[in-house]
Amino acid sequence: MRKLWLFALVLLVSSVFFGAANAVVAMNGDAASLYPADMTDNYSEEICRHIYEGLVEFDVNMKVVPALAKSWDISSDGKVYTFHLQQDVYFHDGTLFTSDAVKTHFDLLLAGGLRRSSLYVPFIDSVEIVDEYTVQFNLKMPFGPFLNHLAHGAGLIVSPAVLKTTPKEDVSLTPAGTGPYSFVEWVKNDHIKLTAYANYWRGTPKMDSINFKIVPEAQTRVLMIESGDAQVSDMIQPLDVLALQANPKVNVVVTPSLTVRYVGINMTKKPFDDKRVRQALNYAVNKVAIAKALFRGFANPAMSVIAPNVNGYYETAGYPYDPDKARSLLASAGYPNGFETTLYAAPHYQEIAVIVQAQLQEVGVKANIVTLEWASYMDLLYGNSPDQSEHTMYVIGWSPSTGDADWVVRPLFDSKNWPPAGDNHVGMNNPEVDRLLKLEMETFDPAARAEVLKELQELLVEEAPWIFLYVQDNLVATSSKIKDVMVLPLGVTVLKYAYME
Amino acid sequence: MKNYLVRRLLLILPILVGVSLLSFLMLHLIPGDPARVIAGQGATLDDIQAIRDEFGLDKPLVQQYWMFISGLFSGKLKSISSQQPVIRDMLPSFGNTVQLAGLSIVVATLLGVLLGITAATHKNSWIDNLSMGFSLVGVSMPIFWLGILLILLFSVTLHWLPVGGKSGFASFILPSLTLGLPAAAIVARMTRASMLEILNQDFIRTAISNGLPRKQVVYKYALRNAMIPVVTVVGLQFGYMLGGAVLTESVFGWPGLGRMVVTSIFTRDYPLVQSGILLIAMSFVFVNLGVDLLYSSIDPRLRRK
Repeated sequence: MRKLWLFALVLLVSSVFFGAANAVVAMNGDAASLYPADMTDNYSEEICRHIYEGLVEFDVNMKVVPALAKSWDISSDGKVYTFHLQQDVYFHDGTLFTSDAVKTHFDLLLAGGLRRSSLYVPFIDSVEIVDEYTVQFNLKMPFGPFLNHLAHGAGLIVSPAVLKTTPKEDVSLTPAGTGPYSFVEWVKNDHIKLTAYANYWRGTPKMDSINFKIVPEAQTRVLMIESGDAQVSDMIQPLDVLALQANPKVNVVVTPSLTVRYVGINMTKKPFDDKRVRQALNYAVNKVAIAKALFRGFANPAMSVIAPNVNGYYETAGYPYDPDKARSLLASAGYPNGFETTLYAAPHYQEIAVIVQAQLQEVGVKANIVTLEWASYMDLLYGNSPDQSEHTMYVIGWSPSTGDADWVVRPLFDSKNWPPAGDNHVGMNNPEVDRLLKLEMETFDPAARAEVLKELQELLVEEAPWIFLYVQDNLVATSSKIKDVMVLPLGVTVLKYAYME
Repeated sequence: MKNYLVRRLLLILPILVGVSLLSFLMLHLIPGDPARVIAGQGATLDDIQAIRDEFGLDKPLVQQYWMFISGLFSGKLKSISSQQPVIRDMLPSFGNTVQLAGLSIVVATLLGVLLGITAATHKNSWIDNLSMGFSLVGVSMPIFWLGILLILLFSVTLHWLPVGGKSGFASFILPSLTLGLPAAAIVARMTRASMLEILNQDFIRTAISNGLPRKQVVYKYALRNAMIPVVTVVGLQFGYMLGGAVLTESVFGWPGLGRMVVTSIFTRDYPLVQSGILLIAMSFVFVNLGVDLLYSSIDPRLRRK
C-alpha cells in the first residue's frame, strides 16, 4: 500500500513536471564530445545543435539559411566571403558574440589537430576581422559547397572565452554557445541535460529544459514514448511505426534521410572491371521489393549516387528491375552462366546482403556472404588500395554531413581518394569523372554548378560503381503534445523551436 | 588466517597482470584501427594520423602496453573517443553497475534460498513442482524478453515505474528484477539440491527424532550446513553481474560498465576497454575472495585448516 502511495507521488510529480514543459529525448547513443569542431558522431551533433549556432544553419529541408550571420556577400571570383553578423548576441558565459568569436573558432580549426580540421583546411586560406560585426573568409580557390561546409556541425561556434582558456579536450566539459539551450550536466552513458537560455537572441525558448537520455534499445525507446517517459524517441524501427501511428498520443515524423545505401563494387577486379557486368548486377536487384520488405515502405529506390534532399541532387533513370536484361548483359560480357564472388557485409547490413544474394542468384551470380564486425569491415575497405585489397562487393552507405553533393562525389569517386587516403573504395579512376569533380567544386554559381552535378551524376550512374539500393527514411516518434520538432534529414533531431501544448 | 589473507591478496597481482596482458593482446590482434573508426568515414589521412599520434597507436606494442599501465597508475589514461580521463568515464558507470548488481543479488538470494528450502522440505509435492517449474522458466527466460514484458506491464500499462534510465529507487525495481530473477532460479535449484542432501543425513534425523522443532532443524542446522555450495553460486552470479549485465543495461538504458565496455569494443577504444576489463576482473577476484572468507565463517572447521 505504501508503495502505491509512492507511485502516486511519482505520478503527481511527473505531471507537475509536464506543466513546466520539460522534454525528454530518447537517443540511441551517448555523445563523444560537446566540442563541435572535435567530434564526428551524430549524437554529439544532436546535442551541439541545441547549445551552439553557426554563421549559417540548415532548415528542415537542408537549405542553408542565415543564423549568426545576417547576410553575406561573395566576391566575383568566388574566393572572398564577407559575413555581416547579428548584433547583441551573447554566449551562455556572458561573452558578446563578435567577429573575434568567428575568427577564434575557425583559426583553431585551421591550425589542425581537431577531428574536423580537414573539413576546412583544404579550402580556407584565412579568416579576417573587418570590423566588430563583419568577418571575411579568404578561400584558396572558389569552392561551390562552401556555405554547406559552414552549416556543418563543425561550424557551430564556441565562446572565444572558453576556447582561449581551455585545452581542446576540456572544451566539451564547459560548453558555451549562443544557442537556445545551455548546458546543465552530462552523466556519461545516462543523460545530458540542457536548460532554456533566457537571453537567447531570437527570444526565450518555449521549453524549460531538454533531457537527452541514452537508450540504446530501439524497443525501449518505443516503450518510453508509449508510457510518456519520453516526448521524442530517435531512430524508430519501421516495424514499430504502424502500431505507433495507431496511438493517438503519438506522432511519427518521417523525413527522407541523406543516406544512400548501396553495394559497392570493386571496379579494379575481374569481372567487375567490365561496365556491362556492373550494370547487369544493377538490373538484377529489385530495389522496390527491398524497400517494401525490409523497411515497410519507409525507403525509396536510389536514383543517383546522392539522396534527394542533398544539395545538387539530380534524379537519373536509375536501373529498374529487369533480370532478362541482366542476363543478356552478362552474356555479352562473356559470363552467360554467371560467376561466383564474395559479398561482404557488416552485421547491421546482413539482412540486405541476404536479399541481394538471393536476387543475384536468379541471374546466375553466386555471391557468398562474409560478415565482418564494423571495425574489421573498415579495415577491409580502407586498409589497402582497391586493387591490392580483397574486397569485391560490399554493402555500405554514405551520408554527406554537409548536405551537399560534393561531400559524396569527391571523397567517393575522385581518383586521388583511393584508400587508404580517402573513401574511393570502389577504385573509380576515370579522367572524365575527375574533370567534372574539379569543375563542380570550383563553380560557385548555383545554377551552373547544378548543371555540372547533373552531368556528373548521369555519368556515375552509367558507370555503375555500385548496385544502387535505396534511401531510407528517418523515423522519429514524438508525443502528440510536442510541436515543431525538426528532424533534419542528416539524422539529427532538433528541438530548437519546439514547444509543448 | 592472516597469512591466508595476505597470500590471497598477493595472488591478485599476477592475476591482474595476466588479465591486462591478455586483454591488451587480444584487442590489438583483432583487425580494426581505432583512429579510422573514430575519425569516421570521410576522414582524411591527416585526421587519422593526428588521432594515432595523440594516442601513440603507431608505437610498438610493448611501448603501448607500458603507456597503458603507467597511464592507469597516473590516472592520465584517456579514452580515444571522448578524450577524457578513463577514470572519469568509468568509475560512475562501475558505481551504477555495483548498485544494480547489489540489489539484484539480494533479490536473487532471498527469493532463491526461500524457494529452494521450501522445495526441499516439500519434496515432490505441488509446492516443489511449482517452485522448480518457476526456476526452470527463470533459467531459460531470455533477459531481453523478460525485461520488455516487465516494462510493458509496469510502465506502459500500469504507469507505476519508469521505463528506463537511473533516477531514484523506482528505477531500480525493474532492472534488478530482470537481472535477479534468472539468478534466483539458479540459486533455488542449488539450494534445493544441497538441502535435500543435508536433510537426508544422520545428524538431521537424530535431531528430529530427539524432538527438536522441525523449523529449528531446517533453518538453523540444515541450512547452515547446506550453505557452502549456495554461497559459491551466489558469489559466481554476483561476479557475473558486476562483469556487466550488458543486456539488462541495454534494455533499461542503465548507465553501467558492461554497456560502456561493449560500446567501446566496437569503436576499438583500447584504453577504455582494457581498463574496463581490468576492473571487471578485479571485482570478480574480490568477490571470490569474499566468498572464501564467508566459507570459514559459515563452517568454523575450515578456519582451523
